[in-house]
Parts: sequence; C-alpha cells; structure tokens
Amino acid sequence: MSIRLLWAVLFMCAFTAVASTGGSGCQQSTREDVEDDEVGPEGSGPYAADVKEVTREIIQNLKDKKISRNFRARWDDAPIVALIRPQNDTRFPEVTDFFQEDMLTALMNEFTREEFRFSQRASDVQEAVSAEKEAKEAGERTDRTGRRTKLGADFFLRAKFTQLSRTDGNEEDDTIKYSYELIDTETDELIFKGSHDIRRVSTSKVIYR
Amino acid sequence: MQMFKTGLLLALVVACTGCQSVYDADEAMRQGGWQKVMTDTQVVEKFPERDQTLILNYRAHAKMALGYHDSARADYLRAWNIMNIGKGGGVADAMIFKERMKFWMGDPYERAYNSWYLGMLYYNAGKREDAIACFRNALFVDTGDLEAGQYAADWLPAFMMRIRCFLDRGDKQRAQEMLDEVNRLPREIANFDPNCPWLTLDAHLDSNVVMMIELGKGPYFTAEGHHGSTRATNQGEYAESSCEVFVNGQSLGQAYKIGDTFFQAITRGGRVMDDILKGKAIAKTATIAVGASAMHVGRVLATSGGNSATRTAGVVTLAVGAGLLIAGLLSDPEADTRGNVLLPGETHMLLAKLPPGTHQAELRFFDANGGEIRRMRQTGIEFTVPEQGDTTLLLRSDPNYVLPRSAAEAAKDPYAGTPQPK
Repeated sequence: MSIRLLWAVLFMCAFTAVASTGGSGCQQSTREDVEDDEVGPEGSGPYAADVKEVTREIIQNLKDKKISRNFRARWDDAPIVALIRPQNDTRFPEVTDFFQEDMLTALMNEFTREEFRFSQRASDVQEAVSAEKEAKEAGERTDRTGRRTKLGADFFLRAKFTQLSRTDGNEEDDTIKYSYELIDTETDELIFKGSHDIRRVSTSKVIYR
Repeated sequence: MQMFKTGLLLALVVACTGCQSVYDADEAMRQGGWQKVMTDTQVVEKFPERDQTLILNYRAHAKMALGYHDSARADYLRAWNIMNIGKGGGVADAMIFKERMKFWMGDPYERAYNSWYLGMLYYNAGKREDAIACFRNALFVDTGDLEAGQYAADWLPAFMMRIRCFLDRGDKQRAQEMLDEVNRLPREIANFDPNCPWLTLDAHLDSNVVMMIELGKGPYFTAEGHHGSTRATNQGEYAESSCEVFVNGQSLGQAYKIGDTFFQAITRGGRVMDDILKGKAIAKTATIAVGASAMHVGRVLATSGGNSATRTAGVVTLAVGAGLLIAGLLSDPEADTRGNVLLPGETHMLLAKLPPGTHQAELRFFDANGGEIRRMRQTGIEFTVPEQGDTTLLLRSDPNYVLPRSAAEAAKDPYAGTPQPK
C-alpha cells in the first residue's frame, strides 16, 4: 500500500514537471463579437469597442449640431469634410489606423453624398492623385473638363488620443482621452469639440515586475 | 530499496527535463550571424512555449538586422502584445519547481528595447503615430512607481525619437518639453554622455539625418549564491567605445552615447521573484535534510524486526521522507537567467544636416584608448535624404545591420525560396 502511495507521488511529480515543460501545440480560434471586450487578453489599452464607441459619438455630434443641414441651407451644397489623420499620444500603437478606417467607413455608411462629401487625404492617395492629375494635364490620360481641381475641404474633422498612465509595477492604470473636433477651414472656427474618456486597469503577476 | 532508487532517479530526470536549455543565440551568432539566428527561429512553435516570446524577439532582431523590416515589425508587434498585454504563464511551476518555467516576458529594459525597435521600424515605414506610441511605451515600461520613489524613465533613445516625432508633426512645444525632461535627468556618465550636443531644440531643428549607432553587447544574467538563487547581471564584453561618422568622405564627427543597456538593467531595483527564490533556497535545503532524515528513520523502523505496527509506521515514515526528498530535489531555487543576449551594449547618436539626395556613410569604431578597430570599419552605407522631413538610420558596430534600399526591399519575405520547415 505504502509503496503504491510512493509511486503515486512520484508519478504526479513527474506528470506535473513534464506537462509544464511546454504547450500542447494545439491551436483553436473562435469568432467573437468585435465589441465584446470581455473575451480575449485583458489589457489597459484601447479595445475595438472603445474606438467604435467614440466613432458613434462623433457621428451623433455631427447630427445633433445639424452641420449638414445648416451648411446646405447657406451654400446649397453638401459640405466637404476631410478626416485628418489622428494624433496618437498614447503608448499603444495601431489605434490610429484602426480609428481612421473605422471613422471614415462609419461616416460614409451613415451619410449620403447629399448630406456630406468626404475628401481622401491619406498621403499615399494624395501622391497617386497628384501623379494622375499630372498625367491628365500632360495629355497622357483622359480627363473630364472642370474636374481638374482636388476637393477643398469645408471642415477638418480631427481626432487626438491622449493618455494618463500610472503604474505601481503590479497594476497598469490607463485613462485614454479620445478628443475630436470639427474645424471650419475658412475661419478656423471650432464648430464642435468633444471628448470621450475610457479608463482601464489591468494587473500583472507579481513575479513579472 | 531498488524501487526508491529508481524513483529518485526518475525525479532527477524529471527535474532535468524541466530545465532544458533555451536557444543559445550567442552561440548561433558566433556560428552564422544574423542569418543563422533567423533560420534557426523560423518556426517559433518548435521552442518551449515559455521561451517563445524571447525567440520571437530574436527572430525579429535578426530580420531587422538583415533588412527585412516589414517582417521584423510584424514579429516585434506580436512580441510587444505579449510583453505588454499578456499575463505570462507557468507562474505556479516557477514557484514550485524552477523560475525559468514561467513564460519569459522580459525585464523592463528588454521591454523598452522591444518597443524602441518596433517604434524605429514604424518610424522608417512612415507610420509616425504608431512610432510615437511605441517610444512613449518604451518610456512607460522604464518607469516604476514614482510615488514610492522608484525609478523614472531615463533611457534617452526613446526620448530622442519622440522628439523627432513631435518635430515631424510640427509640434515644437512638445519637442521642447521632452528636451526639458531630458535635461532635468542626472548627468550620469554611465547612462549618457553629458557632453552630448544634441540635447537642444536648435540641434534637432537644424538636422535632417539621425544616426542611431549601437555598440557592443548588452548584459547577460548568471545564477549565483545559495543554490544559484541570486540573479547576477553581468556587463557584456566588447572593445568598441566610440564611433566616428564620415559621409561622402568627410568626417561629421563622433556620435555621442545616449544609452547604456547595462546601466538600464542594473538600475531597476530588485525583483519580487528574488525574495521568493531566496525563500525557496532555504526551504530546499531544509526539505532535503528533513526528507533524508525521515527516510533513514523509516528504514530503521521498517527493518527493525519489531511488530507489524512498527514496520507499517516505518514504511509510512520512509514514504513521507521520500516524498519530502523528492519535493526538495524538484524544487529548484535557481534564478532564471534567460535574457535577450542580442541587445547592444550602448546606443550612440549623431545628428547632421545634409543636402537632399543619396549619400554614402562610413563608420569607424574606436576602443577606449582611441585606437581604431579596423575590422569593424563599415563603408558604403547608402542612404537617401528626402526633400522634406528627415532620414533615420539604425546601425550597429558588430555584426552590422543591413539597410534596405527601398520599401520593396524592406517588404521582402525573409524566407522566400527556402523550403517550408516541418
């Protein structure tokens, strides 16, 4: 009986040690809701759900302030908006591209061309458009009369992500302020400015300092 | 008795399998340089899960060194996510058995380097907003609990590149704020050269070329003290101590030290794990002693020729003693000595203003006595200064980094044409 007990102890020790020397090598993935921040690794940085929350708030602001209606009443044309690439002053990369794409797509989905028109100001597109225009002007490519000018924006929509970070080595506490503003490009008047703060705290295990 | 011996042997085997050596990147570099490291680490999954983040950093570094910047960036980003968001793993094993059974997440300076390299790759790819976030994170992980009087960020390379990012945005005010922060740091010669002339806004505004030049080998860890429970940080050995830069045959002067990896590694205070390991070392000795004593007493009782109850008590004592002995043998207080051995010893910086166009740089490295180390001389480093903005080069003394000459080169698949590993 005692010998069996001894072997059981030995077996358990051996199993634990061997099992902990590496992973099983199995991988699996599941499809999850983009806005579900309860699944996946937990961190104090921005989640897709946070960015989408801000995107919705900006769109709501454009509606609430009746930007399109007022502009059309005055100029009888849809305002042209250029989405300026956001400034990222957080410690988390990738959020800029994700926000830019998400915001632009949401704007295009939300508004018709009669309500808002959007100017693509991405630097690579600007370069390509300039090259195309040069080719047209040189007669190397066809063009349609009256369409030689790039869209001048009536408004700049600009976002900035700033952050207040604190850590005591065990916890990371990050508050990210997603601020955004709509600027009249003729007068530099601030039409509206808003911000959305999201605070997340994550813990790390003590043996990882 | 034979079964006990077999059991102990098994326990020793198990203890040894639990501490198999991590990939020896140092030896790989000696054998075949960056190419060998990149080839060896092609399949990260073949390494123990606990070492994979370290391997990922090695692979990213080798790819970056060979000019495969896009692929390196993907690896660094994956490692960044694990090192900054991941919770690690193998913690219970590390507590009970051996520290190195926990998942490697890197020390603060190793995390700072991960963010720094990722930032440099973003910066050179034109993704300045991602770059500035990485440089900020490099400073964040380099900062402790300030209210508790712990360390503040003092690694200048990340500050310097944040300044370049702010200037790229046209934000001189923030750039100046960064410089003010740098100029408030103690002028500690072990950390950076106090005579560095690049710590003013004018110096930055008046330059369109930034050269970050890495010298020597970074620190490495050894396990010392009682049962190896103390982790010692050792300075890497290297001969080069300064670098002079020539462009198109003309000397631009010396690059100035702005970062010292060993200094960063030793100025981070103690680890919580150090105390745990010391406790484990004491417990290990005590457990082995008690276990061996109990086994001896148990054996005497079991073979004493007494009645059945005495013999049973002897066997039980023997078994408990064996259990304690095995537990003591399996419990290993040796400190985790895994570390990123591919990091440089120092980072030097040079700022210059050059006319737009293509230029050829030459680097000459000198030892502490001012004598040139001829084998390290690097010539024909081609780079282009744009009409607007700046160009930033990341270079290394030995073995040197290859700079991609175009975006297409930077985007090349590092394993193109090599057989798919099984």
